[in-house]
Amino acid sequence: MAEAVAVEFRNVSKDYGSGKVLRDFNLTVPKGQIVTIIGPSGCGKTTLLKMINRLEEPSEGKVLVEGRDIGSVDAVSLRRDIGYVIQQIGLFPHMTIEENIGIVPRLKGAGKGERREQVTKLLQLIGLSPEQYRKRYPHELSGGQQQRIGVARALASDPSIILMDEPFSALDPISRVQLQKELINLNQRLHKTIVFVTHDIDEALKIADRVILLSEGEVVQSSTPAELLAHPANEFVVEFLGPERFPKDLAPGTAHHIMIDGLSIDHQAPIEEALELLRANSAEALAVTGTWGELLGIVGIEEISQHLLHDSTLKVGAIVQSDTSSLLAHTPLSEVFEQIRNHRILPVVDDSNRLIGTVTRSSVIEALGRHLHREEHSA
Amino acid sequence: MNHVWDTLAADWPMILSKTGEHMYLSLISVLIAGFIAVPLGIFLTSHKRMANTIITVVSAIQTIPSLALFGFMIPLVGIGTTPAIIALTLYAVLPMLQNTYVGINGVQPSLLEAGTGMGMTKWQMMSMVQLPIARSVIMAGVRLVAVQTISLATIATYIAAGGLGDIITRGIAMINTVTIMEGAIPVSLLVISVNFILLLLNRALTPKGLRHLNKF
Repeated sequence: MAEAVAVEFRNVSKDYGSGKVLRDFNLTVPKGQIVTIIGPSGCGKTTLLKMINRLEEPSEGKVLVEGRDIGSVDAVSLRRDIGYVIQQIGLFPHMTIEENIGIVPRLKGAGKGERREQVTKLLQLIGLSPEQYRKRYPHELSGGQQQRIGVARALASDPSIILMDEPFSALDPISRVQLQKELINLNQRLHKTIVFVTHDIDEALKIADRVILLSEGEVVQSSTPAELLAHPANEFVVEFLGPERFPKDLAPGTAHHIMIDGLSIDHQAPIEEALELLRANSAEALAVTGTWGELLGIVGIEEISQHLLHDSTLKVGAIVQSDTSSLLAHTPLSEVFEQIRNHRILPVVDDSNRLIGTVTRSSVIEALGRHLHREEHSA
Repeated sequence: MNHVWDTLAADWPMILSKTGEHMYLSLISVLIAGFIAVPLGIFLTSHKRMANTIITVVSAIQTIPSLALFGFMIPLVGIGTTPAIIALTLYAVLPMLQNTYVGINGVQPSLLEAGTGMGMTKWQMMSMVQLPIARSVIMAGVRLVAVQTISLATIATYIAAGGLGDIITRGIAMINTVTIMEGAIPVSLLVISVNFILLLLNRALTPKGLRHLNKF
């Protein structure tokens, strides 16, 4: 056996009466990897996911989880051993964060002390301070924080498999990027088998160790993201992923090409969160966005640390510096280099002042590095 | 004015005992109705086909004029406390049933999906998720019913079930405003205080995480 198998579909069909969603379907999901399932809507990807924890039953065929035919396993206890994260997050509003995270251990009969310990560990793991968040309620948290708790909840009983059904698609773009990064980091440590359904192709390619592309209930291609882009199985793959993803060679001539995402924060977020984000990215400053993703200005690490001493509950919006320069996507690189000398961060905005990315000194250096690398190789 | 105080002083023991009877009638009816309506409401949320029929039947009872319903009780169970409690209970079932049903059905489907996906049994879902979230809607039904029952219990006097209605009807017979007030004011005070107590109780029982949603 070259690769341990976490989930296996054997000749599975699913018939909803109105037609077959899956027909004689076979698939193996390797252990310890992030596997994303993508495909046009109605291709059966969510059905597939829900068959793994028996929220859906196959009409024919078998699903095996770690070698066991789950058709003969009690559905309730099976589900307690598999993590589950959904798009609508689904935190219970009447329970504290601690109670929410501890729910599966509680269902499995873990005692209070044990649950408490586990919650502490998990909150630390997802980067939220246990003392601060344990007793809070879901509505007091931002969408991104809520879904972090959703992920923590799925990890609570230490399952080896976690199912995620478009978990980040209801989040704002900035939290989404942040959570994607965190998920990748998390799994480098935890090595869970994560089956991740998404309709966001960027997301699928970014987080996956393996991408499974479905169409009309059949696997079109199952490979690593790099392979998928390098050797698309057929024309459908190219069409579905978008021909622009199979690039010739882009001349890196404008701000758009060297900007990065993730270095931004909502004006409603507490300044502590800004500090965490800065630390996580080892950055000096962040772009601040308003309710509709518009650029409000920037905050730097000095201002945050200063204010944090006085009032840790302050919102980022209260200390934002609005007199900052920003770039457009098509600002030429020469001008970008000129400007970055005097700024810690340069937000990049579109025509309607919405933030689309940021340029920092390190992103400029990285871009230069990439450029030189390419030159060496083409020389 | 002296005449008022004299009457009041003389009637005081009677007012107290009639208030006691009144509270007893109302409380027993609301309790029985609660024990019928809440479990029935819970049951109906998982048997939706039956729900419509049953709620229609229960609503039909609500359309019978209250005086008539008390009258219908006489050939069936005679007069006295028992028929009064039956009639009051019949009126009390609908609002509580409806609120229980609506409250539980109003729980977001995503919470049910999350719960099921994490391995909750139906019973755990009900006790850990659906009931706590529906609680304030159910409590609103209880409050409505309590108020309605206390007012309605004044009519119980017509089938000799006692209560503050006795004083009011006597006052009407004697065309004595003071006596009518002696019956009417305690009814109003009961309604106001019970409503207030239940409101506080609901607030205390609402989990902190849901309090921000409470508009009452």
